[in-house]
Amino acid sequence: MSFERTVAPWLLWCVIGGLFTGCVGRLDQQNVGESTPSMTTPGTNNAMANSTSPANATTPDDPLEEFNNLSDLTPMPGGRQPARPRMLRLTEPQFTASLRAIFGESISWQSALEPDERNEAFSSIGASKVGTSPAGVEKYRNVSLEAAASIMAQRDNVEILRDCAPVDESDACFEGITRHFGRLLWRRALTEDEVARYAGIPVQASADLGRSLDAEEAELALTYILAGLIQSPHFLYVPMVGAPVPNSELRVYTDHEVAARLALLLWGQGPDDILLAAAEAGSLTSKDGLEAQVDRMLEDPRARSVAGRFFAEHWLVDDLEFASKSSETFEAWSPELLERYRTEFELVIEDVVFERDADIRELITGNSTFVDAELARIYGIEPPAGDAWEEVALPSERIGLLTSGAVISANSKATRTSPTVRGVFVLEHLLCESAPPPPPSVADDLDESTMVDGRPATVREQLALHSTDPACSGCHALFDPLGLTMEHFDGIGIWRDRDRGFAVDDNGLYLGTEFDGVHDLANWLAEDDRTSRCIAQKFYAFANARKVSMDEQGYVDDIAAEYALQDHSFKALIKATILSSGWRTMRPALDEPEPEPTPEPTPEPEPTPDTALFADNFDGYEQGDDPMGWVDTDEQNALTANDALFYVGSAGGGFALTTFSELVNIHSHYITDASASWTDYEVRGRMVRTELMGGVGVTAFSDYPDADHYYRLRAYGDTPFHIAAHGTEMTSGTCTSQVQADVNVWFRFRFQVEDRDGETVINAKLWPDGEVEPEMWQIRNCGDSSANRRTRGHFGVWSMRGPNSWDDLEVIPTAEVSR
Amino acid sequence: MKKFELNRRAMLRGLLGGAVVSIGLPIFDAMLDSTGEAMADGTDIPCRFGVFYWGGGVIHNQWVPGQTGASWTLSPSLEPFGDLQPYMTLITGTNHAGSSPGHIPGRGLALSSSHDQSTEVEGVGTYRGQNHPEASIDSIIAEAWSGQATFDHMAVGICRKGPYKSNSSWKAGGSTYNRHEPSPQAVFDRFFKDTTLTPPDQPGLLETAQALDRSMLDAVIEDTRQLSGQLGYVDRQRLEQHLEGLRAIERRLMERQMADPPLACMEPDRPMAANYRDGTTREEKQAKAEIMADMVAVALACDLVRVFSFEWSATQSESHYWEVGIDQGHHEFTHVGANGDQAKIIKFIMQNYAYLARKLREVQVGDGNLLDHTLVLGTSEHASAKRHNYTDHPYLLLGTAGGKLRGGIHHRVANENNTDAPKVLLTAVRAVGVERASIGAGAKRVATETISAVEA
Repeated sequence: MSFERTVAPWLLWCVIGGLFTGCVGRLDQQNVGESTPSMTTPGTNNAMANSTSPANATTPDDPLEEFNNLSDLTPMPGGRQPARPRMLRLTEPQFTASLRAIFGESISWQSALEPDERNEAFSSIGASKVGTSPAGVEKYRNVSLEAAASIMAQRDNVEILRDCAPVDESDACFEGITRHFGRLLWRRALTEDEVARYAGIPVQASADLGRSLDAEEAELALTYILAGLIQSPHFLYVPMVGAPVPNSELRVYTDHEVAARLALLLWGQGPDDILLAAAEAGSLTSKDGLEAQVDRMLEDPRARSVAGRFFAEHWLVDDLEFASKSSETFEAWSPELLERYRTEFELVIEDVVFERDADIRELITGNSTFVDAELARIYGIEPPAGDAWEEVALPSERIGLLTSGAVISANSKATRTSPTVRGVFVLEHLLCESAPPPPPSVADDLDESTMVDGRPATVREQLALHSTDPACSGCHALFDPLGLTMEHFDGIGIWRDRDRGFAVDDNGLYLGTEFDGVHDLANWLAEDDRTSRCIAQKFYAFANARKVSMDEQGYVDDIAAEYALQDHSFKALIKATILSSGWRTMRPALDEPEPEPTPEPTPEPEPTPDTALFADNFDGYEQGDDPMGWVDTDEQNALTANDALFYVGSAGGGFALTTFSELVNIHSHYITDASASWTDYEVRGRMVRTELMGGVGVTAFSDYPDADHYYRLRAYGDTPFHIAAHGTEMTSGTCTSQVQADVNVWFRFRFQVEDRDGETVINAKLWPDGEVEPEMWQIRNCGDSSANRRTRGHFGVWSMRGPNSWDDLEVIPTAEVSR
Repeated sequence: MKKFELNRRAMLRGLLGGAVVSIGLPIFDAMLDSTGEAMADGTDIPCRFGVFYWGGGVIHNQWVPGQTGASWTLSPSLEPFGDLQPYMTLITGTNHAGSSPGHIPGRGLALSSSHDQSTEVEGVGTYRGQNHPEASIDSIIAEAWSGQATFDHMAVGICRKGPYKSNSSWKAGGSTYNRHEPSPQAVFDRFFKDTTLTPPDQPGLLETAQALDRSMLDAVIEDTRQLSGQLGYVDRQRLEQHLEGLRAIERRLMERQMADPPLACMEPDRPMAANYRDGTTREEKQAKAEIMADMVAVALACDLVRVFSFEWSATQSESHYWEVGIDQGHHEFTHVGANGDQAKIIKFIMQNYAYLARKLREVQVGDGNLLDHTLVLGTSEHASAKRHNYTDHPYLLLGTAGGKLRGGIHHRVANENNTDAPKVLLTAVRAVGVERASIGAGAKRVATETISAVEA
């Protein structure tokens, strides 16, 4: 995977000393430049692939017309290319709601299922990844049997069960029961083979026993038929196979797959009879038919939970369940308060999304909320009478859900606020930018005993002191000031005027934009297009049950634009997402393991001769390591060592020598006992810069750290790569190349420096990584015959306003390499 | 030789009608040869393996004893082991190769010496990524021993306060977890009680129910098999996992049909329904851990299972250790608490580890006891949780694995820059007789050698 394709144009570097996992852009992106291995199309005989339904008959002649535009069905890397499907496993709530929708709200069971797995904050994504352990399979078995027994105990409530009174193993009503409940449970009609398999359970048992079943035994058989249908993978999982599209490599989700995904997404349970009938009529692969069902389902009360489920996971409010709050610090904290906060959160979402179908950004900037008497007291509002929850105006210090007890508490620590956690929340969850992890082995806590001017420091002050470590300060400077706008709200969301007796300062900052408190931030967020797109991106992930790949960003753009046109209605977002080709189409599943992402094929580099003075691709190091033998020196060509400048970071498909420092004129030199006397050598490798205002270079014949003398191949600003010397000067030849140093593009280079008969001569060439090495030297016979010319010395790297990286560095005597 | 006793009533297989059936065979005198050191058929007494996992690392100045070798004094954190010292193999000073600083990568390193490899954008995911390419050590061994006992694996969990659920045992690929069962009653029901549904008021239908049960399972297996063939690679792997679980049930249903085995096994009482206040700030950890340890010991003794994972607390656990006077989530406390207070928590956890080991030692096997034939690997996701690191990673092994480990050793690796921690895992795997050339994945994370100083 090449550097530029991976990170640009989402690149948002920040300065971080310790680690190069990167302050990169949007989180939910992966699978860039995925290669296309051989694939087969599984499931061609699949009962779910529409082959047995009348769908094909009603599918339009030209299915392409049904999609957003024709190009949707032409894979377009980097834009609108749907993902490969992943089978969903029902989440525990979906399992329960599905059974209750079919068999009645009062059925129950004692055993528990395996807990759901959340991934990327969403349980739906977890459901598309998780496998089931043997213990989990047993749990399905136990719950299925218990549920079936519960259904049978209440069989009089269900007509078709009440009317079935089998007298022996071959009673006809076994088949009716299997067909009826099989269709509802499996979200499609069963094939004849499948009907025979389950309806035949009593027949097989009878054969096993060597005798016929009596009426009592035949009735027991009903329990096992139902338990079997529930335990079947066709109920527990939602397989996704799709159906072929003529003249396209892509496939469409079948009517039944669409029905299942739609119902699980909007209602959290399986399809009802109407939706199944629509699938059976083949109308869900048509845009109009799908739209009609989405409209119907969104108006149904069962759809009310979808936004609450989405935002509770997206805004981390679900994590409150695990929140650890010190009862010493926060006496008001209790499970009841937590429950109130959740109720408030859900009521506000229901109001915005379903009662008023308002602009979804009101969740951030709204000025009203719902409280009961106790919550009103916490918020300092006139309490409503009795136990009722009522809509009230928010007190002026609060705004939207951003300052709600739920969101604030979920983004705080046990004993205090956390501007860092809150800032990262804004960055990652509201803007879909990403924050890097802290460097390894850094104690990541504030020192609460810190004193300033003889008094306890405020959190803001503790943070400022904490962040002086250059390994931390770069990234903290990005997100802490976002979180500092919320400093008026303590660790459990209660407003405060003072922090440790000192007036709260809630000013904030993000990339040059200043905020006078959280209202300013909220209004800015609501206005910023990234916020509205971020909601679309997260919902796309939630609805598709997977991370959003870079190849799908075009779909997200379309959806974001579409719902923005409709006044940012969340219902419009839901609809736009479902109608998007990104939701309705798929690339076929791979029939063999997904290959590891491989770097784009690069021409074989010249092999490193055994006589290399130095060769390192830095892949033997770990992220954050300080590589051996490299001496870093301070800004402005200072000769003072500053070990915190250059590290090994992850870049360019492996590890590389990296600096995140934005300082100007810093160096790192490879210094051994012998390297001061190295002469007539070629430095080769590759380098990259990430800022147009920055510069990147390589030095040779250097006297660092004893003196600021060297030859350097470099580019900065809008200069092309050229030779620049320190402590001496070039006196002849071609010392400038025509190669412009595009940012975020790795350039391979060869840089030869030789001491010849009274002149030091440099030849060099550069070319974008992955392309063929040019034949000619671009910098030719660039010579120095001055009195101060250098004839030997170390090699190293030079950086100006990083992040910058160097990789595959080798130093080889010129006698050993081609000229 | 005396029979083992766990203060439990003995019960012959099948005595409770349909309710108690799937009891395995204990290793009793009659099955051993005259020396009491091997099975009557000449094979070795089988080894058992377990993991004791806790979240939150250790406090090194309380953990690492001052002396090394065979003669050393228990450190303050390890005092609860007392007379178990001859069974202890304490390995200190080993490091895992540095990594992203997250807790989840930590559990991957601690138990499999692997976690998501970083790629560019995914590098961010590395820190939060949840997948470990290699199976956890207990899963590696359970897979090697699959089918040898009634169940392949037993996972029990004690502390439940979040944020992460049970997650310290997983299969290769990292998306299938052996979830740790938090309910003692559910553990009992799985291992000691037949799970066939039998109408309590219709005991006469037992035989019919069992026939229907088999027939139902056949249908589900057939469905799963067919569906699996229609899916792409990744989903097919997931369904194969599911099928493995169904086949394990099928195997047990077959065993149930066998005639009564020649010997009885001790069977524990079903634990009383009790509220351990799971997930609250007042979890009854110790009471639950003792009941779980009792059942683990019986399940191993009866050869119901040979591999277990005892998750004391999950990765990044926020359990409140009110027992030692700390009313704050453990993970948060690792960042703000005084070392001395944190060490109290570690010592409390070790008391419970020691309880488990003592339970195994109480079970007589031949001339020795179960702990002689068991290896329990104790570890945590971090060395110092405060610093999120893997430097001087805690590994405390209990049991001598049928004489493969010397026991009573504190081995400390002196070179501070080593990446020897994966060797501890390989040492444990080989000690219980699972042949593997290496363990771990990724640069500096693959061990091909064991730590011979602790081997017999």
